Amino acid sequence: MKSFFDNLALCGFSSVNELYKKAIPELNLHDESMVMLSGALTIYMVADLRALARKGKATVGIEELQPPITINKILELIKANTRNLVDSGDYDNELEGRIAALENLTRHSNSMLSNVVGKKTRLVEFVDKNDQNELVHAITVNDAQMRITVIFRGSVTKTDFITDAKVAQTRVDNPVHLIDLDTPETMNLHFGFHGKRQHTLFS
Amino acid sequence: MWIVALTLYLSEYLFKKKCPFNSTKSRISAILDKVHSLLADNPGYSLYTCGHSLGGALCTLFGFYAAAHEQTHRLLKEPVRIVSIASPYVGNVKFLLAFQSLERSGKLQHLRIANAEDVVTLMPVVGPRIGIVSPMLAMTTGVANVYKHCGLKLQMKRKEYENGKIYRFSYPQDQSTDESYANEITMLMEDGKNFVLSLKKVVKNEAKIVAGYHSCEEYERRLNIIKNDIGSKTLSALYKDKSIVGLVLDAGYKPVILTTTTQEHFTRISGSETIKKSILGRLK
Repeated sequence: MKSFFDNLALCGFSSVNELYKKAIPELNLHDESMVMLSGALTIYMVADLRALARKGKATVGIEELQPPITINKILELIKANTRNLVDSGDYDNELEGRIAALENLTRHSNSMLSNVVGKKTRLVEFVDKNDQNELVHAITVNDAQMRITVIFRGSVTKTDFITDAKVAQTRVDNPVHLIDLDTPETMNLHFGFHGKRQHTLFS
Repeated sequence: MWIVALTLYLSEYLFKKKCPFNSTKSRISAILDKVHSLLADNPGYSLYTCGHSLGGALCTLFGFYAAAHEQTHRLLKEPVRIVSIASPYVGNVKFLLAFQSLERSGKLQHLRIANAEDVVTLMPVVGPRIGIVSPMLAMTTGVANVYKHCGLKLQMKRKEYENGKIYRFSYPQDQSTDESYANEITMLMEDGKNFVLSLKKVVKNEAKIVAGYHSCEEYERRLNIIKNDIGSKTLSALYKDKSIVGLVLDAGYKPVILTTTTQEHFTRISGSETIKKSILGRLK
């Protein structure tokens, strides 16, 4: 007699995960945008909190902020450090509103959003080395939505970014040319955002 | 500087014949390794990447390189999905052609969310070193060096468009028909207008307002205004909507792009009644 899983395999599902996958609809565009915006927003705060923790100016040590850690735990810690973050100078009074908005997203237990940014999301990697001003990225895994998300932090301050942008381009090999010969062999990418604060990969 | 470093590193370590995975790994290939191992451990999971502002540019690059990597598609049944918010320009028209090739083969999707008045999404257009505005670059070097945005754009505006909505979708078209070419030019003109209006505000000491258009909060506010409208759509469905993407993503489609100098663009514009009419119509 065939097991349930054998039957599944016969139906074309190679794994239970795949069956589960079929049951997860793509998020609608609003939820998708909000989830991604929340991620993009949270990474600024997490990087700042970690920087404070390294300096001993937060209620937690850096070791408590190391992945793997749940997003809910991180939000809790950010909330506990609202004052410290505001005092660090990069935030004005908008911070409390931001935290409230993020909490709201995770609180509604029935919403799709809570599955994506809420308790079922784990932060598995956060790389900010020692310098607050370098390239910062995070990787999260969400088991409810079955997605892996790579998040990049933006520039440290909005105005820096505006002043630092430059027009120059650099020519690099086009990796797609290996797959599609109709595409050009090389392509031009932004030469970079010049500035004292953005020397990141090699510093 | 770091984008240079990033891209040089990428091509160096990921795509050249040298051993791609040695001990002095670049950040991006380290991220790709990690992502591949997470995908291998979690079969059926999908891959997303996102970021705001500079992070938007980075996630666009990362998503592109992830989708161009063979290993990614051995582990992933869906396209890599990029959701960039307030991203500046990333590459030129050749980058766009490569990007669209990945989109055409179902390996990549990109939702690019941009506020119409957000100057960062219209940058870089002014280079202090070169001192010219981006379309002007075409005069000297040919259009191939002008920056092009990629992906399906969700643009949100402070005031309504002609259709009474504060948002619209668009997708970069090629220049195969006079209509698509005229459309591209008029869109560029609108961007230019928004850019100038924002610069005016900066000059009038209203830089805070301009920075506000770029903030996560303003994006969130506008996304919530259009919640009901976009809440019934999905990115995959938009990618199949011909009224948005046109024919560019059809299998086997060969995009037509003028990689020539401005002189030739002028000749084409002045030689076509359709283009002239369309531009004049938009200017009214």
